[in-house]
Amino acid sequence: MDSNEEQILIEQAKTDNGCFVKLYELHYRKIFGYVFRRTLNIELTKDIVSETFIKAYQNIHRFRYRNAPFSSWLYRIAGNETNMYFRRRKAYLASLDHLKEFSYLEAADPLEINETENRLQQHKDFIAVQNNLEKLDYKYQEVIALRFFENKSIKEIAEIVNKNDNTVKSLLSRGIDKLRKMF
Amino acid sequence: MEKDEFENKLEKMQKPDAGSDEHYLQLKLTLLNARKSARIGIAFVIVPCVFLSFIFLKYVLHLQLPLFTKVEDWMSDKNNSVFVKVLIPLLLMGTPLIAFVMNALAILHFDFNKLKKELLVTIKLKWLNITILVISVAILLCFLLYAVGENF
Repeated sequence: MDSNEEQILIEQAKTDNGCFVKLYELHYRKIFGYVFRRTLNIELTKDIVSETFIKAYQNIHRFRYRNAPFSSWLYRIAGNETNMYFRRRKAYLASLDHLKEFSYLEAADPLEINETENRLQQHKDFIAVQNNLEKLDYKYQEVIALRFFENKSIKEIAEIVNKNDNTVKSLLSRGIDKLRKMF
Repeated sequence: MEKDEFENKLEKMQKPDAGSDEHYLQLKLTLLNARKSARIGIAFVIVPCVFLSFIFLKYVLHLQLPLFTKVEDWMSDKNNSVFVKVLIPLLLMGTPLIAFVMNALAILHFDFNKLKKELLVTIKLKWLNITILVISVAILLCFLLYAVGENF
């Protein structure tokens, strides 16, 4: 879908649920993947993704098309929701290792937990990076996840986090340095 | 590990993917029906609300409402057809009942955990739905109290 078509669909989505659902169908998988790669918890991902799309639906009338695609806005909401979750959990759990260890047990469907755990077993490098990434400040977590987990360009990351390109480059550079020292 | 080498490792690393068809469909339905329950609810409580407002104006504030008196006479006419006799309670009590059920379903979420044998009930804070819910309950209570007061 080109930017003009997307712009028309967004305008229609402001008054028509059906058009918003079309946007949802286009972006659901990307957003789900992004949140999952940041939390590594399927049940939590479902909650955050639901919250993301419900917030997008409630606030779509405020969305103004400024050359940044709609997906950037969704990534920003999903990122904020994920960070908010981490902040809330930090208050309850002293250690993030503890969080990672027990987060799977909260899932409602045991089959889904097994499937997710099996899938994650094949990504040990990724889990190691993720575990260390969670120890960094959210501003670094977000840009590193977008750059290396989602393969976004500097320009796209800047649109998502609402910062200029140079700030993103500097956050990435410092974040990578901090992460590298943990290995 | 050098910085470039580390960046290279991050770029080439295999990333896990996940999805849930059940969640995708559930959320899609929620978005498709969002606000519909509230809008239908408003339509369903309007007639009983107007009726109760006239009752209040006439019997509490003692205002003269000849048109409403005619409607009252027509409603209580014993020669009315069965259709009218069924339609009136259906309109005054059935519609707020439907509005109540629809809006209750829109804000309540039930999740049964078989392993823990737990039933988790979540209430979503959708204020429009909650308002319609409260109005529906108030209307139903008014008619129920009237029925009890008249018959017992």
